[in-house]
Amino acid sequence: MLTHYLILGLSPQASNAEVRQRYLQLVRENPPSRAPEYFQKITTAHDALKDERTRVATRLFGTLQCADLEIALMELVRANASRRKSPGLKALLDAEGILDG
Amino acid sequence: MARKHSRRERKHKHEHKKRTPASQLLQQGRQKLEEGDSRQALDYFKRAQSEDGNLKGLNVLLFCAYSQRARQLATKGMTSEAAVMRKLADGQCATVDPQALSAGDFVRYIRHLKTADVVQLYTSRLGQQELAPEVEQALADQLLASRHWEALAVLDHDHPLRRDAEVVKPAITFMDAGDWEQAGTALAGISRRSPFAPWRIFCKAMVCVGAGDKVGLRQAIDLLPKHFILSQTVNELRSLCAPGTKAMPRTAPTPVQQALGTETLDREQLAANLIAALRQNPPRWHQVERLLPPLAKAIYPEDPVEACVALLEIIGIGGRLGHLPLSDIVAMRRLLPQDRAQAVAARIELVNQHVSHGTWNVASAATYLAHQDVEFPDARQQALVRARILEFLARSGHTGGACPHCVGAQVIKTLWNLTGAHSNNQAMIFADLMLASLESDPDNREGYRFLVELLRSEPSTGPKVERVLTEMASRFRDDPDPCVELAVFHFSRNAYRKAEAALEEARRRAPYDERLLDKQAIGYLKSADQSRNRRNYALAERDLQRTEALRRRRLSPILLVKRLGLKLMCDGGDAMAEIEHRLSSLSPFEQMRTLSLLILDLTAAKNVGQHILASLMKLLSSKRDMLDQLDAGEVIGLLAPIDEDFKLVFPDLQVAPVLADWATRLLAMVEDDHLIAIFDILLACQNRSAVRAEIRRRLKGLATSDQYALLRFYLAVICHIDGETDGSQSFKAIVDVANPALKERLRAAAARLARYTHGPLREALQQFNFDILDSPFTLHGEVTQGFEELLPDLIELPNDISELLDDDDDEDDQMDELEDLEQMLDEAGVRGASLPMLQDFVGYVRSDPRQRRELDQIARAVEEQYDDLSRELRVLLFPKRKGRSRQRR
Repeated sequence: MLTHYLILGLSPQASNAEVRQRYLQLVRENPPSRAPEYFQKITTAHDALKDERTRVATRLFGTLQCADLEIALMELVRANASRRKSPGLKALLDAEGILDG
Repeated sequence: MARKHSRRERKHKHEHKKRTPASQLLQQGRQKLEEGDSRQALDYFKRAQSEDGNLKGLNVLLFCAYSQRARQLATKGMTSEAAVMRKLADGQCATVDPQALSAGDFVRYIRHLKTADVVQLYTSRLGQQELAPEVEQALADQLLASRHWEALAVLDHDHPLRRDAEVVKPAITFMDAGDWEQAGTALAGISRRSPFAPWRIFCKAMVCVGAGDKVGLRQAIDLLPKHFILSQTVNELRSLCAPGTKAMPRTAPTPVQQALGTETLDREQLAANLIAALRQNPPRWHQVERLLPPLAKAIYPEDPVEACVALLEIIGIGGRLGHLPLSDIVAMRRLLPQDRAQAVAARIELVNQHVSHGTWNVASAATYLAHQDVEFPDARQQALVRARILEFLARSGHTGGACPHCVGAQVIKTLWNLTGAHSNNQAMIFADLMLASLESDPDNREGYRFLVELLRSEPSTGPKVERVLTEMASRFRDDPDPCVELAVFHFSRNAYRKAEAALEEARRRAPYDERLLDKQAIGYLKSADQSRNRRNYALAERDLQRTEALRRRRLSPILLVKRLGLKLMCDGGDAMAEIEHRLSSLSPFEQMRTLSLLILDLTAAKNVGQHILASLMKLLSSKRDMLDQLDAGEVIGLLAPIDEDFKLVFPDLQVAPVLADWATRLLAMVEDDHLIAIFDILLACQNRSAVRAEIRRRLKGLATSDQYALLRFYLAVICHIDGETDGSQSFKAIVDVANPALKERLRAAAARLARYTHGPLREALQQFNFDILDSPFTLHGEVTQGFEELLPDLIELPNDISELLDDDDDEDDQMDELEDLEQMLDEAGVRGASLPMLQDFVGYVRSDPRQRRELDQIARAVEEQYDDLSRELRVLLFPKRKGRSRQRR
């Protein structure tokens, strides 16, 4: 399912190594003590994509794990946002056009 | 007409403009400036200027508006226009007297100056007038934006700005990285009166954004000062907290929205609109089709087609759950490029189909495999896809109850093409699918296990089971399970050497696996049983000694039973005294349990005289007085069936029938908490009379309660099985008035009790829907074509059976009755029907209580001839019994 790829910030053509690398990076940045919900999502996504066999199975039958259409839809919609980091102060100042005095 | 209208409007507007005083225009302009709408603000200020050119504060407001407008144009890339605005601003700046400005205007003014200049102005105001806090806050904002901390050198060391700047500087690093939580922690030392205090609140607000905490966000935003530098950001955050749904925005997201990521609101709004369209009855497919492309692009702009596929797959869930018509969902494939459309449509159809014993769509699997290269161009992945699809077909068909005998010729042909196997045995189609799947993906461990399970369900597949297990054992050399399964297989066929060799290999692979030792011990016990049945008592003794040497505590009670059994078979009745002596050292529970198991064991054994069994029963009866010494747990343990693991050495696992005479007394000893567990045990042994009597006894004088309702439910099931009642009324009277918690208990009880029933009652209990009992027909899902064709004949059938059955017990007449029943089955057209379909047919026939009693009467009379009956007649007369006769002859 595309949701898992978006959560990990990967393309659907990602390899085993890319999945693993990204997973470890995200887990380091989002440990369970700091972001328990996001950590759970990262782990679930990794489990669904960790090797070629599971990736194929997920791609074919991933939606069988979903019991509710609306929940699955909103998870997909929010998956891309979940990997977006909070903007920094400079980004916000720049967006508002507040020039360096 | 339109021209006159607009002229009138313009005149009205002009007159309205004329009436607005300059001060009010100024105020409106300030408002627009606060909102960040510099264009509108300039319009108000210019109008005010035309009213009164010397209006106080007008020049600074014009300066601020021109400066803000210049910034906004610069961010849009309109540099020349921004330069013009900048020049106009500079022109106004020259006319501003900072010392004469109010606090509010001063704050606005300094926003657009360089930090060093601002600090200079600030220090010059320090001595001259009382400074409002917002001035220092504005300066603090300016410092954070510019990072020119050196400008503070002109201030005293204990000035709040200079003092708190040392705390703020490290926090800026976290803020720039977007780590607002850490930034807030770093600013914890700032006092509430500090000019930098609003930044701590802003950090909290950003943390709430990340956590989706709208309440916290609202609270934080309300505490921020009006002139906070990031005004547009604050406005955007404020809009996030607004309740209700937003309409779809018509303009592109602003830079602030993009920075914050709040353009996701657009995605969520699109998704909400999509859900609303799907929820309509019927769904608004045109609207869905319109919403999918922009939503797909918003979700995954890098590859909107992939996102559209994902959305269609998710909408397909609605098809699987039965909420949406699958055909309409599949029709959405027109949104996809042609090369993708067919593959995706086939995949959605395959995955989301509802499988029943009459519906099993394999065509979509064939279509997908023919087009899979679009989604999986890699050859290795294609092999995995083929394996997964074939396995999915096998599992979904098997689990969904698809009837291999009911599939049409076209389906068979498709399956032959998919598997490459032209098997004539339709019952093996799931196994053939799995074999083909494993050819494409031989490393599928779970696939092998499933295949073994499929093969076991069919008779005469022993060699295939052995071959598959051997292959699995050789492929997965670290896995002891296939070796254990092989051992069990060989034991069941009395191939002890092969079994022991398999166990040895399993132990080599998993030397510390306790289960293997148990399996080995059970294997020895089985060998001992075989030896004693052949009167080879020395060999049997040897095997028991080998079992004992393994020291399996779990098997100790079983081993004792086998030893006592062997003793009795060797020495006959002379061994009774020794048996009694051996038992006397045990607890009352152990004595009674051991005797029960011994009776069960010797009943199944060969060459055991009836007098021995009678002596054992007498000995057991003598222990009756010890019953009072048992607690509730021991009562349950006494009646509980033997563990499934020991099926090899105890063909009949049910112990309760041995203690049938004690059932009533045992039930009376048990409190309500343990009653249901014992009921379940007794019902599994078909001892309904004891359960019924106990329920009726307990219901007397029992106040209305959950326990009362549960007992009544059990009673309703028993009365229905025994033909005393029919229809849904007795169940609905209990279920309809139950509270939600009780209803869940009743649902769980129904699921357990379904095992002991068949036909309409079973269906009703499994689905927890008792309306089924009011209809004579109950089917697994949809009515299949085959059964539909049977219906006209079935309606006449009960009369046929009544004519067949009479009260004559003469053996010849019984044979005639059997012949007539066989003929009836021929005429009903159920020969060769699948088991589910046959059970439906039998359920229908047996739904009449009188017929059920008569059929049961025949069944009791012909039980000895069970193995000689046709398959269909066995199901008709013995609906609960599985497979062939339990006792091998």
